[in-house]
Amino acid sequence: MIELTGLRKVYASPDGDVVALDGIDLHVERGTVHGIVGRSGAGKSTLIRCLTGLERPTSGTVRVDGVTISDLAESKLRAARRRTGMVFQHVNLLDSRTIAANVAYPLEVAGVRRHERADRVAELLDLVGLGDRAGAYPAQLSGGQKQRVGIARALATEPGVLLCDEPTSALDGETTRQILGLVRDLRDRLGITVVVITHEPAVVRDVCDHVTLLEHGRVVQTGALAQVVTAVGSPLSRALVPVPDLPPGDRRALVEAVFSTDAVPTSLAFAAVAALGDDVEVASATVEPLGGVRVGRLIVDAPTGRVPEVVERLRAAGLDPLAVPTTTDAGQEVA
Amino acid sequence: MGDLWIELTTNRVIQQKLPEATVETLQMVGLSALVVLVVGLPLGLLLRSLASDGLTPNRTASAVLGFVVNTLRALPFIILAVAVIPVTRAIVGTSLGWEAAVVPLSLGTIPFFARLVETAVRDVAPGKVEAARVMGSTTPKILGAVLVREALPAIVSGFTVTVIALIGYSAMVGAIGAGGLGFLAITYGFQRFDPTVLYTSVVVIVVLVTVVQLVGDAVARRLDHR
Ligand SMILES: Nc1ncnc2c1ncn2[C@@H]1O[C@H](COP(=O)(O)OP(=O)(O)O)[C@@H](O)[C@H]1O
Ligand SMILES: [Mg+2]
Repeated sequence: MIELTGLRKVYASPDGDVVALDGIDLHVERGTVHGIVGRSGAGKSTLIRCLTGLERPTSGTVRVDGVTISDLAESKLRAARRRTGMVFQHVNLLDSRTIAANVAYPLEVAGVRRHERADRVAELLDLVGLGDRAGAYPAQLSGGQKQRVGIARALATEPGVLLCDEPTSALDGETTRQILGLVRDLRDRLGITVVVITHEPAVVRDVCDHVTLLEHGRVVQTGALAQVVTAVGSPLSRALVPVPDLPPGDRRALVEAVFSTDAVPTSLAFAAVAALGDDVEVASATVEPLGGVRVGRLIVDAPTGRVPEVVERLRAAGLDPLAVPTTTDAGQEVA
Repeated sequence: MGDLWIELTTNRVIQQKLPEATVETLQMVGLSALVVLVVGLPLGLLLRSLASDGLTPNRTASAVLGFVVNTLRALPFIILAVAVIPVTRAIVGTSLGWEAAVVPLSLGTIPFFARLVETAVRDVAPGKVEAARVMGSTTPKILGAVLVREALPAIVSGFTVTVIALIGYSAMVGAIGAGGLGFLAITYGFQRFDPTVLYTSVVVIVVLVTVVQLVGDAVARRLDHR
């Protein structure tokens, strides 16, 4: 559905060129929800702007639904844009229009007749659960309701692709869950392909099938959710399956282990650590449902001299262990 | 109170000239306001669009237009009004009467209103424009349906301020032969020292300004859904 090859974007700035995207190759399959995570400035927004054709790549190609966006002339691009919908962090509704008129906007632009517009708008507002608020103005809605209108608007022209740039970053936890539920539901019912940019691990865990980690404009890690989180030592695993902070105090050596409960039941994972003796203990651990499986992550504290043996024995038990350099904090927040 | 009423109803200048002068003022302000709207609104949009973060950035055009607008704004109005007399003669055929006054009045307030429009439109969140572009909007659609419509309450407030400035300026051009309430106040009220005429003219001007302000505020409020 979406195919990026060798995508580069360089911005000229007074203090030299900024390489926002540095050779991105990425494939997003039809009907999947693909998360893009990475620190602020990693190039996430630039990537999505290239997908809409708002930004022209410096080099490389962008194909969306068989159309090479990166080659289109401006006039053709306007038509192509109607085949992707976009949802923004700050929603960007027009304050002067009722929510029905906001949802009608892309239909006006696409030249849909007035009476067809009215039917379609009613249908879309029902789809996002706001059928009874058609005449309200954006200022009269809550943040979550506004984002629902934003989603209805993005879907108005029946696009094959829905692009979301930080769609829930301005919302509270419960509202975030509702919006993500709506996105998942829409994907299931409409078969739409979704790309979602986020810095919130919860968004990736709740809604994504695939995930890509960007850093300095490059793809650091990409793959199916269950696969990337069970890759031991992977930055995405650390970000998406965070373990509680380690207790303060003397640290000896740390070994990190990841397992899927499909392969190793939790009780056996802990038993494997227990079998290592009194001087090896679990410093921190978590087990979470993720990408259709339950994923466990353990941080084991052991005497420095025993690390190779600990790694060996945990591997024999079916876990995927890795010695953690003591200077690294084994914790959170990659995205 | 009784004396004032008698004075107002018997003063021949007020009886004969005030209604006519009021109508002249309304005509010159009304026509000027129309010209200012028709020219100033597009000019303000152009100023905004040519800026580096506008829809159609152009450094040179932006600098030239900005210079012209600033120059016109820097001139004191009364000097501009005198300086454009030859232009007025060329356009209207005479430099006297309310029709002739429309030329200096428009020229003097178009740059002012254009800057107010530019500021109003600049305050529209860039995200709204980006969203409109992602939805495939053409530039004219963005200008009309997004920038002007979203900035409309502020544009209406700016237009209100502009019309009030026009009322003030219309009294000034009255002094140089345009007629209207300003002319009445200066010639009869001041030069022939008839305080009733002077103050009555002032009161009518104050009422005009107040009405414009009230109507402008009400319209702006109705358009504002934030
Ligand atoms: N229009 C622009 N001009 C110059 N530099 C830009 C522009 N847009 C983004 N950048 C730079 O490109 C890099 C990536 O930005 P962005 O894609 O917004 O990152 P993210 O969305 O991941 O935070 C940053 O270093 C940013 O400063
Ligand atoms: Mg961003």
